Amino acid sequence: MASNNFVRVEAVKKIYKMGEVNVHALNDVSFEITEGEFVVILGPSGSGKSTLLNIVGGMDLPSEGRVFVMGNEITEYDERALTLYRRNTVGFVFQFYNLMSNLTARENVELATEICKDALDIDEVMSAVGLGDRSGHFPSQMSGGEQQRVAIARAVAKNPDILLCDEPTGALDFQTGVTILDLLSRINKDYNKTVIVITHNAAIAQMADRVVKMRSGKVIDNYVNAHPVATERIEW
Amino acid sequence: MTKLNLRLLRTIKHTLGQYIAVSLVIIIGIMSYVGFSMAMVNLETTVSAYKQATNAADIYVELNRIPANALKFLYDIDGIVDIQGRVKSDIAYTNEDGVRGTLRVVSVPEDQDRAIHNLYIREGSFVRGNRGVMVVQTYAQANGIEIGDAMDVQINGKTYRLTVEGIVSSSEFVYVIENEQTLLPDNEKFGIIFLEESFAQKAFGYDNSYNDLLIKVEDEEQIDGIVDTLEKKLKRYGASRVISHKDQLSNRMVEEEIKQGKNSARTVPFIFLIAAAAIIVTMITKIVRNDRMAIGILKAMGYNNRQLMIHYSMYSMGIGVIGGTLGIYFGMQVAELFARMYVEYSFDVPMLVGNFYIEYIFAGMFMTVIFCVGAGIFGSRRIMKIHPAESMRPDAPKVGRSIFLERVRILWKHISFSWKIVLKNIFRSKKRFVFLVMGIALTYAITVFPLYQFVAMDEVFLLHYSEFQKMDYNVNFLKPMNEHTLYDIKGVIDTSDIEGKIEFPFKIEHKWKSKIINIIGVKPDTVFYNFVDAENRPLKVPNEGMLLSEGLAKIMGIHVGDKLLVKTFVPERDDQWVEVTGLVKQNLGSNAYMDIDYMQKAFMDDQLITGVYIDSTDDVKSTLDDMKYVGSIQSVVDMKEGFLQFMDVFYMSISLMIIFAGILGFAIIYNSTIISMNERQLEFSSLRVMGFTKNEIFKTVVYENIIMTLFGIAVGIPVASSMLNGIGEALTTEFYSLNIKIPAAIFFYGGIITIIFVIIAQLATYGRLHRLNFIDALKNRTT
Repeated sequence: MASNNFVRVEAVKKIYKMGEVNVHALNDVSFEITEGEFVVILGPSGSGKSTLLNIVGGMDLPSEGRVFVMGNEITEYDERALTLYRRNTVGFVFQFYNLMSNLTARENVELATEICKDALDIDEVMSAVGLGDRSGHFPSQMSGGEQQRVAIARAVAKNPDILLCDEPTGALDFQTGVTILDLLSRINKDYNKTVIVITHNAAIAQMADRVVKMRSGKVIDNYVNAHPVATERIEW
Repeated sequence: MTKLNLRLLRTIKHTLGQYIAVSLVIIIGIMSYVGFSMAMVNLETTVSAYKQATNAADIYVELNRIPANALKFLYDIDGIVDIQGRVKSDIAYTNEDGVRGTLRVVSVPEDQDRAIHNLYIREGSFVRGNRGVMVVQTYAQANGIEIGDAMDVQINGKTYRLTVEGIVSSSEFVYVIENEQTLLPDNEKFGIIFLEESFAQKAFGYDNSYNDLLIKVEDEEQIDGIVDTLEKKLKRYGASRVISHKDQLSNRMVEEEIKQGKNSARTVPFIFLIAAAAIIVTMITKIVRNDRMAIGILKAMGYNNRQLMIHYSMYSMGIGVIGGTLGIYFGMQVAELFARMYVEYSFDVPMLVGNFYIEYIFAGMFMTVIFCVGAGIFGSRRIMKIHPAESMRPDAPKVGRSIFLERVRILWKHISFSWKIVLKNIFRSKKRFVFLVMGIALTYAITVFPLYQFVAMDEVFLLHYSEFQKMDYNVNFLKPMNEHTLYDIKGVIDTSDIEGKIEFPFKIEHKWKSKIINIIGVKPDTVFYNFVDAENRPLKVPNEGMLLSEGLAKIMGIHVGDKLLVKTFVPERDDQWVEVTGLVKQNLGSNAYMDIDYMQKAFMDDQLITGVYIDSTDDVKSTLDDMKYVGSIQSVVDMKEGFLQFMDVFYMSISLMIIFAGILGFAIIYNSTIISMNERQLEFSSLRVMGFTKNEIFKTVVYENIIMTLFGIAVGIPVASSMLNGIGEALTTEFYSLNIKIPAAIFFYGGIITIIFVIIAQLATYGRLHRLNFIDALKNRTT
């Protein structure tokens, strides 16, 4: 049975100090995510969506407010607990893939699975992302789309509860972008993973179960998409 | 293997050149530590074992004459367990090639098994009968003497044809030199021969008597007391020298050599290890900085600080394992080689105790761990500060500031664009600038060091034999003679100057310290010595009182104005307090100098001399050859020849030190250049886009290094200078002083050699720059 407050963000504020000026990256942000949802956090540059993703992913701490994941308040965690949280609960996919250049595709995935408790079968994951026959290649020998698939495989193979994707199609052409979104969608369904995608591309919101719209550090809309469209029908 | 370790291995492979370069520096450091330390301990053990095996003496006595039956009374002295009388005397000898030298004739008892300093027979057998002789190996080798050869020696005016029956070594003559003044062995011209006791006694006129004693004591602690007692008891027999084994010339030279070797083991390795640690810290700091985003990703995946610190520290641990293992291995090989070279070439020791000392291996490993792991942890400390969220964002560009040269507008506007890049880069990366300048300064200093040793030795000999001592020949009589002998000599050779001298051993005491030294009596207006003090101010030989060599004064803590007790061994002469009126700058040997008239009156007999100094263009050696009372004739030319032979051996150690310095310089320049190139890929790419060729970009890197090399050398000059002064001070012993003015030429040559190292390192980076794909660098997003 899906938990309806699988991720709960409560009145989160994040203030950066830049010189003499305080920058409010997040200003009283609150929302909830249900287990297994495909969530798109939509907003323009500077709206605070990456900051929010970093806080939910345990990579950053809010200045105020609380974040609960699976009932646990991660904003109370110390450095060690946050490390374990990142290791076992979340998987990250970045806009620029950020693979280790001197490891092959498969080794990049193994790098992540070596330290977590309940990793998936790597061959299966590599096949799932369509790279079964490219696993021995180094990042420099792969296209952008292929590299992003490796990044997704790396995040998924850890068998995390949540997949956090920061502009996963931002560096890709349209066709490749759609393929990546399709892959994320399949992972959401086939592996029953909660997927949170942040993007500035409004078209992607069409495929989401839930859309959280942000602007200037605030949530301006948060709704359940009653009729998500299939990825092949998305265009931008 | 974990994927993190696999990544580490590939990083190492990618930076293999740098890795090898810094590993070589560690290898040199550990090798020199293990090598020097073990060699010196092995040498010490070997000499000690050799002395034990040959029943070495504890006390040595030189006297005028003592009847054989008087020896038994010496056993009354508490602690003496064995006494061996012998006849010992120097004779002139001209070898088959007509080279005149000196042989020290030493008698040996028939019963060698019970003998003190029993001989080690290398070839042939022990002498039996009257006409057999055993020759010390060093002399036999240098003069091609073999078993069965005949040697015609003149003893007391009579010629004896002796047959060589044995080639031997003696633990009494491990370092075979004639006296303190000669310092370096001259095996062609000086050697020891051993004759059967009764034959030697007869030939030298010592029937049933001796002029030299070897003594064994029960307990080492008793030696000083026994020496004092012997001095008193043997005065009536004309004892001229009673010394413990510690003061025996060969033992002192060997100990001095071991002491210096141990000092080297304590200093040289650390220079290399500290330099290596500095390179490692720089390398890992740069790797961590370049890997900032990768570290962020790894942290995002769930890796913690400890795991990542270990990951990056393992890079330097690898260097430690390679450097430490190979350093220890080569160190052990070199230790044996060093020890073997010492016992075979520098010394005459027929055995070698080659032990491995686990403590030095552990110490080597410990030092590697401290330097490499310490440097690794220190270099990777920034990992702790990297926050995964922040690391995803590119580093904020560095704050751009004008450099001070830009404010000098007239100058700045005339500088080309390439040079502006060079200058800005130098003055903006201050840490790198400091690292490189210090690295080059260190390389420079290490290069200058062996050059200094080379020049210093040359200078020391030159100063001693041309500036300080000015005679062409130094003639020693076999026994003290009347001053009239001068006229005999004047009658047979044409001299431009000739002076009589006294050179005689005395024991000097200052507070609780004492030494037996040769006091030299010369004319107050002597033309054969140039006495100056440390500030090169002329010193006059006092009418009463004495001058003392600087090195000796330093060791004994003597100052001008101090009064020393001069203990005489001359019968019927009393010990006297003599004031030190000046300290003489003397690079070789340690002596005291007195007015010859004062010395004759106070300590000897009137009109007595023990030799002469001569300036002459005649063939003095062959002319004086026939004179019965002439013992040895040292010519300055011979001394210089001996020195040049010694310098040949010295070249090897100098070359080795320069190679070591070169490796260090290469590692520093190569590594920092590669690091700089990696860091500046984007900058170089932009320059390429603007139309710069690869060679033009390479030139900017070369220009930078040229400027930093010049700065490094400029900083290196005072560094080297103070290092050399310190070393000169540290290496000053009672035998020689390296306190000389450091010649400017070595700084120049050191600079040239350093520049050559920089060029070699620079050329090695050229290929790396050419292979860099600038366009890829511009769009590269992998970490």
